[in-house]
Amino acid sequence: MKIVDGQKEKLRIEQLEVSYPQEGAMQTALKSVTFTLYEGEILSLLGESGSGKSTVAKTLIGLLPSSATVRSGTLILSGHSSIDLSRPSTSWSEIRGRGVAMLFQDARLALNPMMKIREHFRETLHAHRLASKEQIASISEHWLTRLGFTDPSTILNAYPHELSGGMCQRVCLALTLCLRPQVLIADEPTSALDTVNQREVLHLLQSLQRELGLTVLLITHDIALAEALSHRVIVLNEGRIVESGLTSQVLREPSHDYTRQLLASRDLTSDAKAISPPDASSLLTIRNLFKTYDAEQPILSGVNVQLHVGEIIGILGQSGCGKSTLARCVVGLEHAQSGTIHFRRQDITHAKGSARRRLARHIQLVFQDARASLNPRFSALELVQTPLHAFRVGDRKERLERARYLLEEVGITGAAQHRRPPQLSTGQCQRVAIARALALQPEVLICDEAVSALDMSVQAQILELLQRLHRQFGFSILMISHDVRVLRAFCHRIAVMHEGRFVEFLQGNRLSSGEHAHTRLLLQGADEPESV
Amino acid sequence: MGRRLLVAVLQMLMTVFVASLVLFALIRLAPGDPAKLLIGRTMDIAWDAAAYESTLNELRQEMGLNGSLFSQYASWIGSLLQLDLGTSFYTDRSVAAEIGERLPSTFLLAGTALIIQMAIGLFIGILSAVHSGTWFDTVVRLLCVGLASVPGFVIGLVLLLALAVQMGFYEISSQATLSRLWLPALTMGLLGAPQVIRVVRANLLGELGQVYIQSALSRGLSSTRVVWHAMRNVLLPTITLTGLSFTSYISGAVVIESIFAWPGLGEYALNGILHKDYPALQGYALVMVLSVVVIHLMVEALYVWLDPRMTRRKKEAVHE
Repeated sequence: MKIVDGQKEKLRIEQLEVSYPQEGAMQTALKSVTFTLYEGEILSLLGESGSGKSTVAKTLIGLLPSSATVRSGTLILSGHSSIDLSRPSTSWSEIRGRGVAMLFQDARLALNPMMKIREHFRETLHAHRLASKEQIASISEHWLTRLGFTDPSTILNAYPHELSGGMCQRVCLALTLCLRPQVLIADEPTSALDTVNQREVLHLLQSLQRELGLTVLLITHDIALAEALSHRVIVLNEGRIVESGLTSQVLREPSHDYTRQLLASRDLTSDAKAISPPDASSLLTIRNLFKTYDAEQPILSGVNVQLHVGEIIGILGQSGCGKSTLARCVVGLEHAQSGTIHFRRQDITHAKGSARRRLARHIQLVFQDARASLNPRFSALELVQTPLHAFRVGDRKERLERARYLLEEVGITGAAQHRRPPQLSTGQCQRVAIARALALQPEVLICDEAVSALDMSVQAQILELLQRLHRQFGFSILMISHDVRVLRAFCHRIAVMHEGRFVEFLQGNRLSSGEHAHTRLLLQGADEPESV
Repeated sequence: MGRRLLVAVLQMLMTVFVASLVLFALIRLAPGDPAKLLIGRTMDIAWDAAAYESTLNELRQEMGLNGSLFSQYASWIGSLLQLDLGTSFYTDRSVAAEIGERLPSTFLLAGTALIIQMAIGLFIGILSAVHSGTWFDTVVRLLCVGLASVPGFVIGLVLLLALAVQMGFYEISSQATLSRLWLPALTMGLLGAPQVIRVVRANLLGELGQVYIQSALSRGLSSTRVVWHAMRNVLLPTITLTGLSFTSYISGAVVIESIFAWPGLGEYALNGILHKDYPALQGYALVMVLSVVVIHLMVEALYVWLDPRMTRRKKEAVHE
C-alpha cells in the first residue's frame, strides 16, 4: 500500500533529544529524532537493543524513567495542542489511553496479577468515563470477541495467570482498543510469544488495523515482522534515524550502510561445511524419558534420542512442549519418572548429590537469560573461574590463566574481563556464560534458547562463535530453540518436539522435507507472515 | 480445600504438643524449688530440720511435685484434656480463671497497638514510597532508624514521664479501662511502626516499577489509582508482617505492661516466674503457643483467600 500524498497527519514528533545518566556523564539516547505518523498506516521503528527505539515509545506516552532528561522535542497529536516535551508539566492523563495507547512486550507482566480481567476493563473504561456500569460488561465482551475469544465471559472472570501469553496479549489489545485510541504504539508485541501464538496475535493486529483504520507505531528488532506488517519503516541506530521510507524501498534497496548490515545479519550463514561432521560413537542416549507434574498431561512422554560425539542436534518446539524440562533432566536439575539417560554407558537418570556434581564436568547448560544466569557481583574473570574453583582444577594462577584464555576465545578482552554483568551488554553476558560453561571442557553443551533473547546481529555473532568453538574443542551440542532460522543454520539434525516427544527428525539442511503436521505448522510460522 | 484445612489443623496440634513438651521441661529445668519458696513465705524458718523436711514433703505431695517428670507431665496433660490448667501455687486460684480474666486486656492492648502501628505504617510507608528520594522520605528513614534503635521501655518511660507526670494527661492506676489504654497502645504502635513503614515502602517501590503499573498508566489511569493497583500486591507481605507483629505483641507485652501497670498476661507471667508458679507459667506459655499458632493459621488462610494464584491454578478450562 502506498502512502497517498496529502494524507492526514496523526502524530508528529520533532527534534526529540533524550539523554540518560551513565557512568557519571549524560549519555545521549536519542538525537534529533523527527518523524510523522499518518492516519491509518503502520510505521515500523526498526532497531537493535540500545538503538533508542523503546525510548521513543516511552517518550510518546510520557513513561520515561525519572532519570531521563528530555533536552528538546515537540509532540503534535491531531486534535491536541502541541506539547513541549522538555517541560515536565505535561498533563499526560489526557493523552494516555485515548490519544496514544501502548501495547507492551510481555503482556503477562502488563496485567495486574491480583486483578481479574473484568476489573482491568472496568477501571480502564471508568477512567475515561466511556461507559456506565451496565455498559461495561457488554463493551468488554464485544472487544474480547473481536479479538477472537469465543467465550469472553470466562475470560473476564479469569486472573492473568490463568491465561497463556498469547491470550494475555490479546486481552491487552482489547483493553487498549476499547478506548479507540488515535495512535497505538506496539512495543515488540510478539517477541515474548512462541511462533504459533505470534502468528495469531499478528493476524489479529493486522486485520483489526485494517478494519478500524488504526494508526500504529510498531517498535521491533524483527526485520521480517516489519516487512510483513508495515507500510513505512524508520531505521534507528544509536539514537539517530539513519534511514526511512516505504518498507519495500528501505528493505529491498537500503541506502545506508547500517541498514545493509542489519539485513545481512538476518540470513544466518547456512554453511554446512562450517560444522565439522559428527563421530559415529554415541555419547548421550536418552530412552523413553517420561515426566509429569500432574497426572493429566505429561510434560515429557517418551523422549528417545542418541547424541553422537561432536554432533549438534537442534530441538525445535513451541513453548510448553517440554524442551527446557528435557534439558534440566539431562543435567540432573530435575528427574524423570521413567526412562533412562545414559552418558557414556553410565546411567545418569537419577544422578543426585555428588553424582550430579560430577556430571557437571561433562555436561554443561547455557541459559536463555544470560544476564540472570550470572551473579551480578562477580566480574567476568571471576565468573569463568567459579567452575574451576568448584572442581579444584589447577592452582590459583592456572585458573586465572585458563579463565583469561577462555574469555579471549569468546571475544571478551582487555578491561571488559574485569567488568561485572550489569556493565556488560546482553551479548557479552552470553559470551561470558559460554566461556564459563566451557571452562571444564565438557563433552556436551546444552544451549537452552541461548540466542533467542539477543539482537539479530548479536545472534549471528554468538552462533558463529559456537560454531568455531565446536570445531576447536569438538564437543556435542543440544541446541534448544523455537526459532527454525537459528537451528537450520547450525545443526546436523533437528528433532521436532511436540507435546513431550520428538515427532520427527530432520537433516539440518532439509527441513522442508518435514512430513509431520506439527513440523509444517512450525515451519509455516517461520516463514514470513503474509504481507500487507 | 477441606483437606488443606484438615492438614493445617493437624499440623497445628502437632506444634502445640511438641511445644507443650519443651516448655514443661524448660520450666522444670530452671533452678529453685517452688515448695521451698512457698514455705519461706508461710512459715518461720526457725523450725527444726525434721519438721521442715516433712512439711516440705507434704507440700510437694500436695503440689504434685513428687512423682517423676513423666508422671507429672502425664497428669498435667490429663487435666489439660479436661480443660483444667491446674491451680496456682501462689494464689490458690484456678489458672484458667486467672488467665481468662487477663487475656481480654492483653488482646485489647495488642489489637489497639496493631491498629495504630498499621495506620501509621501504611500512611507513612505509602507517602514515602510515592515521594521516594525527597526530603520527606529521608526524614522518615532517619526517624525509622532512630525509633528502631531505642529500647521499648525507654520510649515507654519517656512518654509516661511527659504525659502522665509532667502534663497529667494520663491517669496512673492499675485498672484496665479504655481511658488507660491509649498510652501503652500508642507506645507499642510507635515501636512497631518503623517495621511496617520499611516493608510497605520497599514493596511498594518494587511494585511501582513493574510493567503492569506502566501499562495501567498508559491506559490513562491516574497516578493515585495506580498506587492502589500496586497496594493490592503489597498487601500480601504486609499481612505476614501484621501476623508476626500481633504474636510478638501478645507474647512480648511483658515490658510495656509492667511499665504502665496494665493488668494483662505479661504481668501475670512475670509474677509466675518470680514465684516459680509452675501451673501458672505452664498455662501462660500454652495459651501463648496456641495464640501464635492460631494467628499463623489465620494469616495463611487470609493469604489463600487474597492471592488468586494460591487457589486458582492455571487451568486449561480457559481454553477456547
